[in-house]
Amino acid sequence: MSTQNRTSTEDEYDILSQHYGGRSRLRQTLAAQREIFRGERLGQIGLLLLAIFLFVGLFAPLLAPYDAQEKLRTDDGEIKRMEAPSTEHLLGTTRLGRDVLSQVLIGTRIALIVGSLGAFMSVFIGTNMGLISGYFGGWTDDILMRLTDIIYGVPFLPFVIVLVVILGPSLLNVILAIALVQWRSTARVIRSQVLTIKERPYIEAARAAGGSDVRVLYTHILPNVLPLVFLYGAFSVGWAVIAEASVSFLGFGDPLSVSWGKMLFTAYTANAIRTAWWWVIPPGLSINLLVISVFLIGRTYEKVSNPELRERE
Amino acid sequence: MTEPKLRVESLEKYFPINAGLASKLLNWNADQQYVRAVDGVSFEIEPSESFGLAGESGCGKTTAGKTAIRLLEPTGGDIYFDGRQLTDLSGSELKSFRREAQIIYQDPFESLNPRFSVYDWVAEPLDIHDIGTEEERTERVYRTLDNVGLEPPSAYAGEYPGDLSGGERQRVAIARAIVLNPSFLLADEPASMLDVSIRASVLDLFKRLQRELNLAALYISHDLSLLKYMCDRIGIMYLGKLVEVGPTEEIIHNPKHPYTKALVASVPEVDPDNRRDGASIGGEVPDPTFETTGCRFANRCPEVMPRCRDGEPPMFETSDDHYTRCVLYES
Repeated sequence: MSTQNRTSTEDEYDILSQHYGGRSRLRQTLAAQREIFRGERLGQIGLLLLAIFLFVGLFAPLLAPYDAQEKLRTDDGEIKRMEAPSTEHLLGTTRLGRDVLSQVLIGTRIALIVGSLGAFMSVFIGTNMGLISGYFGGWTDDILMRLTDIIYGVPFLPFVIVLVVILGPSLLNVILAIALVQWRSTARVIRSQVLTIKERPYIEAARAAGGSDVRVLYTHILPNVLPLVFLYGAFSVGWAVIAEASVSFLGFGDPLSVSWGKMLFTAYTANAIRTAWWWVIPPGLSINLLVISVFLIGRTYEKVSNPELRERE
Repeated sequence: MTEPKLRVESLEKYFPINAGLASKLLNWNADQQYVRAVDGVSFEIEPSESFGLAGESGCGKTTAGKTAIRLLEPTGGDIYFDGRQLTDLSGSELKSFRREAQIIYQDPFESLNPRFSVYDWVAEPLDIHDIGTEEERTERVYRTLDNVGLEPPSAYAGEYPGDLSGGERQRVAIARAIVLNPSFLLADEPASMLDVSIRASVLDLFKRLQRELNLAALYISHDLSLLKYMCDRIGIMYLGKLVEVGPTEEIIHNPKHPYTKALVASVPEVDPDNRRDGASIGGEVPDPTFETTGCRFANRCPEVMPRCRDGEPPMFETSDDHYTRCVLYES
């Protein structure tokens, strides 16, 4: 009886060891995300919008009716300039005879790439700066935070213009410029959060067990600031999309790719802003919707870190 | 004679006040001020002995304990663990010492990382010190959970601290502390945040584990009745200094130092017929930045004499293994 009992406990140990060996944390994280969005109508709308943009971005070449860069001609060889929306061209054509709908669809890719990469890079830099600065304190903190102050003084557009002049206009350089400026706010906020978390007894407990600084920082402190990281990540996506659009609108974007900002720029230089509404509204609206979607998602995450936004239960 | 497990000699821990850049610039010519949280404390703890540190809030007992196992860097003094100088260990040597000495905190709601499951939290020390294979670790974690009374372990392994009661959390903290098979345990007010109903069972758990694992322990508490229950010897601290050290029975039933007498008299008794006098000392613990040439307790002492202010009295042996820092016992 007792031996049987013992084996059954050991079996249980085996099963559970598979269960709690790391994969569970991912599952727990996913469950936590679901919990955050439950009952948040606006956050769900944001997720839905973002899902649509992701879908469009992923399948843009299949969805687009025409090549976005092709100059379309009528049967008698005339370029289809500035045609108003029709069944053939649902959102009309541009001054050079390109299909607006195809450009908007293809432009989604650039917006998503810039948004995700720009946000990822800026949050990556900012989070590490904040973690290191807040945790080590002293001179490290002084140096990193003065650096952050200096970056706070950098005006974005002139900075991008100079960078693009030096490195050449390409999408990657625009993303780089966005990341190099945008990390500042994440760094500040993460640092202040780290300052409160590092004084908790469980952090001392981690050091008392012999944990190294790297372990304490990345396995004990980081998970506790992660909601804030997500929040600033979401806001950074919106900011990066706007930044790319501004840069492209000013004509400093990648000359070879189609982005929403660049569509507005060409419409502007073609003097069509006031006449060809079908050329201006779709990219403008897309920028707004994408930014709003990540803002709504970010706002839902903010609920986690900002109790004032939490519903009273 | 065997080496003591932990020997601390004239340990000091000062915290600078106004160390920020701004105040340094503003008071550039002022002397740096310090809080003398621990100001020359010496004691030893034998293997498998329980030693208690008692005193009012702010007397430096927790700082003394944490400095003794180098969770805080000592300002001065020496620490020997198993006869080895601890003060200048670093890197891997310090890490292997961390395997031997563990700490239990006062507040079980703050001392567990909310993002770690019970299993991950208890297994982490094994991971840090790279002990055993995956299966051995699992086995050991489950055995330890079982040992601290979290039964069945499988029901607790996947839980997060938010799902547990205070007593259960404290047991998880204990499991994490003993999973490495340490030889020394620092328990900082281990039961003061727990409900009275479960306090005794947690304390009994400490006693049993100490016996089973042959642990030396340092209990820190303001509660003399707890220390009386747990400890072989007790040291009384006042303003960063030990004023009396002796066997538990002696300290409780035959206190010598006026401060110890007051502290012992303040412990409530469950006897309505026994009339208690009010606290025999007035005032409060002075600002810890204060400096005095005489006895630290002189300002509040009911038996103060002019010579008390002449110099800090040394420890006098009043009976076997019982020492008191008071000139009344100068022989």
